[in-house]
Amino acid sequence: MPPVDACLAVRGLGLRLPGVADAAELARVVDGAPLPPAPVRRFTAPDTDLAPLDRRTHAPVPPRIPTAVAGRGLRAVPAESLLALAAAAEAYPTPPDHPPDPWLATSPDDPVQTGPAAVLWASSSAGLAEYAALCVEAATLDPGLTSPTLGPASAFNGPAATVSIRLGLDGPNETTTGGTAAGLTALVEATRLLADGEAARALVGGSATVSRWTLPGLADGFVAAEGAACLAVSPCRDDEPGIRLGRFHRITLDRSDLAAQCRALVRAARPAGSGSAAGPSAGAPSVRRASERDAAAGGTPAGTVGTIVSTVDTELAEALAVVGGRPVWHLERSLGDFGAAGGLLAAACAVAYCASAPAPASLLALAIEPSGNAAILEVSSWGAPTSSSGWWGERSRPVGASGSPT
Amino acid sequence: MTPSPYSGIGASPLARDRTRPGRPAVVISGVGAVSAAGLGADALWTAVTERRVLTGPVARFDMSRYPARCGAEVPAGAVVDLDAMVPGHESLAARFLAVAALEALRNAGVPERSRAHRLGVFAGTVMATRPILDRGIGTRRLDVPGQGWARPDTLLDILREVVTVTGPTALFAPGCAAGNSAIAAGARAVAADEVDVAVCGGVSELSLEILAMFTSLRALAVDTVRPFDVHRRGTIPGEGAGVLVLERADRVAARGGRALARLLGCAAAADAHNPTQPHPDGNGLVSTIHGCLDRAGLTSDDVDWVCAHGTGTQASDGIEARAVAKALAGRRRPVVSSVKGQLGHAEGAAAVLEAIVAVHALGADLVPGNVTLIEPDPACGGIDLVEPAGRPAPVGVVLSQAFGFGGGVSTVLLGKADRAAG
Repeated sequence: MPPVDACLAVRGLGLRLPGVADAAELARVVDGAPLPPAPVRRFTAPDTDLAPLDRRTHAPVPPRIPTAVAGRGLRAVPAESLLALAAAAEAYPTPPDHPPDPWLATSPDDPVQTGPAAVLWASSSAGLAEYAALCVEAATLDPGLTSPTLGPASAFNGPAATVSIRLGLDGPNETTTGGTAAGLTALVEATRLLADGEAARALVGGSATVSRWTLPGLADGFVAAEGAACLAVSPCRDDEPGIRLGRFHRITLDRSDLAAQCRALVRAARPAGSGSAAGPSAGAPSVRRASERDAAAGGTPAGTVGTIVSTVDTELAEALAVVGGRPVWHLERSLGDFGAAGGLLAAACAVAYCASAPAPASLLALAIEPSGNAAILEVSSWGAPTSSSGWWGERSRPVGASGSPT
Repeated sequence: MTPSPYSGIGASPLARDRTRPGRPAVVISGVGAVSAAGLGADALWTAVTERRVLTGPVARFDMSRYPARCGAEVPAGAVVDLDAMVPGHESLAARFLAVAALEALRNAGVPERSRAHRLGVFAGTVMATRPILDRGIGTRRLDVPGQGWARPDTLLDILREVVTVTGPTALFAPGCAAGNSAIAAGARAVAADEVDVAVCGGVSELSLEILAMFTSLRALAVDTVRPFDVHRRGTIPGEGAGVLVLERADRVAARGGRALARLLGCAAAADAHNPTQPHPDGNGLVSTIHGCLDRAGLTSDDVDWVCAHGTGTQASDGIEARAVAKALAGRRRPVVSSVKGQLGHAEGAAAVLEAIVAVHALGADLVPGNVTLIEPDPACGGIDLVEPAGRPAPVGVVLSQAFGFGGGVSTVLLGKADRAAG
């Protein structure tokens, strides 16, 4: 029996993250490889009473817009929208002259490539610096002299709009915001839009940028994260190998007993009969997934090997680490606080990890907000082309003799 | 056997829509509103039918140096009345949303404090809590108040205090179509059996930042919003909150409740054209209108009223009129009016407030008029603009559309409660 009744196939993954060049590197980070330390940067807000603030943050991520995207007018596009555009363009179907990775393979006449393409994007930081700049201008300039370009860029939907306009995608265009669950909500809503036939495919992403204005919205104790990730998804067909997004569940947990309820949520999310397995660790590299290596290609799934959690509550993440002995990898502790994009980043990390691991493999992406709002999504690989290698092509993932990433 | 709480593409009913007869009927069982008309959905409908124009000089901010100084504020007395209804919060929008949600749940007969049902919240906004920052706009520099402006999730703080939320909460911010996005997401969650009750809201707080933006874009009307009028000069921002309670029809009937209207279809699209200008052909809007009709199994002749986006801006109204005429070409010109001449453009709240007006129009068999319309724009000749007095007529199906900066378009199709789709 397959791990899910039906699912979405992941057809592309685009990343613009500090210290992570591609999905294979992201998988290694999930597996315990360290990121370069984030230096302390100073953030200011001129013409306001906000004091300068020092915060551990990586250097700004260069967007590196793919050459296939028209560059005209990009100079006026806000930084977060550029990161989103770059990640989305990277996740979008590979140009014909560029052979795709095996796990992303789709033929040009593939029916899933026809029909409207939806864009769903999660962010809590998009437009905030522009909103604040307009407020500063309103305080310091005469009315009517504020920049006409700031206002339209001051809402949350800049990244989704930029992706839609620049890539010519005319399907549903949605932006989710709020806490970390917003990123998984974007994926859930994409699932529903595809199931309802409102779109044939979707680019689902999340992004964050750092400024003096965004810092008050982030939790203390984590690196203030900047970057973007995007998944290209479409309905999965029978027996199609690759990475799948499967079952999901959204719920508001009772805040009076959040840790216990989270543990129950994770236990309930595991496929029935899944055995004990190792998986990604929050710290040192794990002993890699013996049960996965032993699993037959395309056969019975190895079961959930761990959970990638996005939460700003460190104690909660630590409490989850004891669920059935399976490892829990805490996104914010490792990559930093992405705000509303956290849940999407958790899913992207799970996709990268499953793609690097011998199939079948399965991970849970979980996002929990202090309010109790939670979402959980199953990510799995299925029907491996070989029993010893992951889904990445040779050029994108070095595979060790044992099947572990080097 | 207890159904699995887990969902996925396979778990959600694939047999839906026109090709999927098994799709459960989703109905509106309650409505609640905070608007320039004051507190309550009835106050909103009364203001619409009494043809009151609720825009006027902004009192909350010092607009004395601005060339256009109008807004559609929630009356100061109504803001004071919030104190007796919900806890305080630095975001007025958070309080508007909570008050509208309480009214809608009580209207539906759904207890707001219960863990016996799966209640989810789907809210649409444009700026969330960012207007908190506006209060620091003075002279010469910005005095930044608090930190809530950086935390959009706090928009739901008060709602969570006064309503027991057991299902998901999702906050949508796709631009001015946000309210319809929230309705559509709530409808999908109800249809997929993810929730029993979907609280679908749209909310906005009047923002000096928005007023400054429209001033720089020269898109503000100095006196009145006149949608589809040849002399229209721009829009006027507003504020408020609207909430619909969505449930399955059989659930409402089982508890002896009464559905107010049926949600016949939702569709979304993007113009993929320009950050601030709609596509000249209104492609996204045309696509969503067709999508709604297809899902409901209806034709253009079945639509009795188009509750237009109609912001009163020069370019947008003309494009909308042409797109509606094209999408709904049939035996008669589509019947169109915009209530933004009365309510201003409440941005994140606009679409849900307009859906509430549509629910009332369905119940009263009355098409609201274009109250501020004086001389119809000849460029809008393809649509039947409703006279200011409104039009008593059978109203069985209403199309309510919304779009905004960024190119996102979202449209909902509503019908009388007892109407069967298709």
